[in-house]
Amino acid sequence: MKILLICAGGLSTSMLMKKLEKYAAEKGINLEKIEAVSTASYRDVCQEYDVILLGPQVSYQKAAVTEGSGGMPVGAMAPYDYAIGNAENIFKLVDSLLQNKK
Amino acid sequence: MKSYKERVYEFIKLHMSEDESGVSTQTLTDAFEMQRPNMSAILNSLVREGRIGKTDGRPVLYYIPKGNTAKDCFDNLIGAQGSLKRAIQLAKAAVLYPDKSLNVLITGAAGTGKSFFASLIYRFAVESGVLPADAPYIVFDCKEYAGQDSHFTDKLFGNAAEDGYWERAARGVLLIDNAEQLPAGVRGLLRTRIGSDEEGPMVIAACDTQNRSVCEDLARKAPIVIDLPLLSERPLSERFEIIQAFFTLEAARLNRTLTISAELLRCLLLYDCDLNVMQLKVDIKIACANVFVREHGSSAKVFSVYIGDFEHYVRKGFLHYKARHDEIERIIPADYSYSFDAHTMAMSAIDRDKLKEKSMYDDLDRRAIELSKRGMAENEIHTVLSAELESIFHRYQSDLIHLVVNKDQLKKMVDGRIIQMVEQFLSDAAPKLNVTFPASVFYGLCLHLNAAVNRKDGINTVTSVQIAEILENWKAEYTLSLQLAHSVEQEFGITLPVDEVVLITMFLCYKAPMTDTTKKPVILYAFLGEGVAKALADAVLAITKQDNVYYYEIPSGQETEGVYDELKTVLHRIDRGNGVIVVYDMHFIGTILDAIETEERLIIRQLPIPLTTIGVEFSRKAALEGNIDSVYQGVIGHLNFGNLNVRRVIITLCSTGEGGAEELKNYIQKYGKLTDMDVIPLAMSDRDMLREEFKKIMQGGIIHCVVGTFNPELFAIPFVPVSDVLGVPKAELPEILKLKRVEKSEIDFNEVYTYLGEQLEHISIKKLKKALPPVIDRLNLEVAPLSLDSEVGLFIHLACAANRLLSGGVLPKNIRKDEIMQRYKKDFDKVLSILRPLEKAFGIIFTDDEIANIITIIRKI
Repeated sequence: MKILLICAGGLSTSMLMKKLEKYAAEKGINLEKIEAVSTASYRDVCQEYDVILLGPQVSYQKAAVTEGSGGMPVGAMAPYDYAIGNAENIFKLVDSLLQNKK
Repeated sequence: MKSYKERVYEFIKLHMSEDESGVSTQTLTDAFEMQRPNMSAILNSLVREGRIGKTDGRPVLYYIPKGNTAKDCFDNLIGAQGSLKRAIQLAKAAVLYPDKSLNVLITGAAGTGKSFFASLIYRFAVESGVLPADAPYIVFDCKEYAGQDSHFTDKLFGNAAEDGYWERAARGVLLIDNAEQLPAGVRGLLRTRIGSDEEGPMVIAACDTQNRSVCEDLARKAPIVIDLPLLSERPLSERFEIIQAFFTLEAARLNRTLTISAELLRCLLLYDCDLNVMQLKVDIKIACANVFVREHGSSAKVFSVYIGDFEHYVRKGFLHYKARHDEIERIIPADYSYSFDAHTMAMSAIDRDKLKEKSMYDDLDRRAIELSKRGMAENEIHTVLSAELESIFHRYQSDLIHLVVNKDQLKKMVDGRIIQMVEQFLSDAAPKLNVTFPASVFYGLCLHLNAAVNRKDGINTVTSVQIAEILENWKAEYTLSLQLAHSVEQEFGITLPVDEVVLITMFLCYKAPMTDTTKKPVILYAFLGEGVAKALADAVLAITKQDNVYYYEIPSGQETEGVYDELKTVLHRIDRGNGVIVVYDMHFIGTILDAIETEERLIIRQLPIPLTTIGVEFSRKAALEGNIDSVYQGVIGHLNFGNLNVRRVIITLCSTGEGGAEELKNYIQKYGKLTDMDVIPLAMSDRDMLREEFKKIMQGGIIHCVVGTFNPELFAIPFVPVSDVLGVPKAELPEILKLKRVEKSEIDFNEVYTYLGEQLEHISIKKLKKALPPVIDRLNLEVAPLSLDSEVGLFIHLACAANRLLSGGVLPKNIRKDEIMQRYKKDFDKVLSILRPLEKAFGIIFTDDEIANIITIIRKI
């Protein structure tokens, strides 16, 4: 799976990105690609991904991002999951988003 | 001593009044014993200022222009002595500039009157003799050529076939209207032409302020820049004059007198005019056209203009009424109606004396005239009036009370001596009669005596039988009244008829019309949505079997527009004279009710029950949250219930013995500054028992929070640990109890710090723990309330940003930085100051881009 993380500047999501990569490696999850970008720059790259996750500080932009990405599955991470880097819950969210897509 | 110039002017004026056609230079030099060149200089200067004119023949005669003594075309402009004073000075300076008038740039928003002002400049130039009477005034409207750049040059400067506007305006004035639409190239050509063509016209460019860059570009080439104010920037008194002028114009056009209510005029004075004066003009024109259509074929000399003749947005002016109440009252007092006709420029107020001097006599007089018209003899009239005296008095007194709200206001209306006398009289009378007089008696008596003193002829309404009756029943009151009447007579040197004493007695005996059993308040349900209000009213009536409950259904999708009028009509229809209690759900109804209450003198009591709003909040929150208690608590905690009296309680909780909880309660009550909350101490640790206890409490109110030694984690009720309460200075306790940090209790920050510690290599978690939470709290408190999402997001975001800076990296740019800095200037400064401790703690400096990022998150841009 390919995940695009979005937050205000791309800083805090890159921290999460590392955590998710590590978790995927440990659990044998097929994480082909993961990237962290800002709300200003996601449009150019989002088509290369399966799913978009938003940091809580930009969750209010969910509708805008859904539209801006041309209807890709977009999820807002729960604040607590995000704050402690709860990879398990975040992958659950990704699964449910992909499930809904099908 | 006046200057020579003034004396010359006066001299000419004097001779003009003796019906001469003018004064020659010779006469003047002789009269003033002055050298001819000096006199010529003075005369030329007067001519340039437009104060005198000169004839063409020989000898040249100097004269004062007819009907325009010492006046010029600008003097009639509304605002000449007000908001446009500076503009007019500049315009005159430009025209009268020696040798050749200066070019002018007029800037201003759409509809502020730029081209009209330009035409006045031209007229002034002619009046003042700077331009000959036949000088051309040519208008080049760039709007006509918008989008066809090639036409501009041809039209403006001409070609082989025909002259351009420039040539046609030679030795006159060329107005370039809508100059913001001039293509840059043509602007350049124009500049060169202005610089090189000595014979060219005086150029006035009118430019919409919205296009600032073009304005600035043009301003660099125009020596004089005149900026016309927005209508909203001008004083209301000027706006009123403008409205009058337009109505007068329309009255002339229709050849009718137009009458307008004070209410409507107030709306016209207050509604938002996006297109400034132009909008006012067009709106009034359209309304008068509507009147004309409505009255088509009618031969009536007087037409009434109603609010319904105007576009709907005009009535929104009401909504601004409260804010500018005093100012409006001064300009357009209530209870007047106004009429405009073609010839008198001024309005005339009808019922001029209705408000201030409204006295009981007016009622009586009117009634007497009415009765006499019906052919009644004088003594019959007398009898009828006596019989009606009491009811007239009731109406009179309650009207008087409405007039006055405080003593300051009273002082403006009533002679100070009377106020003093009445005050003294009532304080003497109260103990003797063993009563306390309500303020209404005081106000009423003051106003009444004021009217009585100023009244010329007496009226006999009281029969001897009545006097006898009063003497029998109210002897003490009558005796006291006699004393007051006597001292008033002495003070003002007048004689009061015996009727007055009876009337004063009636004031003293006056009981508020509570005894009036025919008038009772009614109840109105005003709710959003079809059938809701009706169903409620029906249900209530079915139980009470009364007929005093009504309903109004607020049409959805339509907010203030229309609702104001509809609601007003409904209230008038159902009011039985003692007011309406309105139960409603939507917040904006309250605003409208306030306005109606002041406008209409209806008694209204409001009970907002935001049922719909609560539902909306629940629905939105429930779409985001899974936990029922978070949804419940989140909405209840944030709703402003207004007048709805929901009891809020704080629970102090101790696991052992009630003493601790009790002590905690005392401490919170003493220092917590709780104005609207009770504190209930509880001592128990069993969660099931607590649950039962909480449920009981929640039936009667809302549990605001639990303060205690342990978090019972029940019903998502916010918890404040006892250490937070006792561990802070007492002054901070109220803030803590306001739960500014409620939502954080859902997050275990220790785990967050652990995570951050693992991931962020450059930052000290110990320092972060100390420095970051206060920053987040202050952002929450001082900038804008943060949602849980934003709060946690910001927390992580700031930690990462600080880490990035410490690692020597750069922070990402925010592409909307400039826009945000401009639009959220206040936020920007605030955030900057809030971040300072964090910057200090880590020795870092956040970039403007970063601050823009933070504002983006807080404001959800």
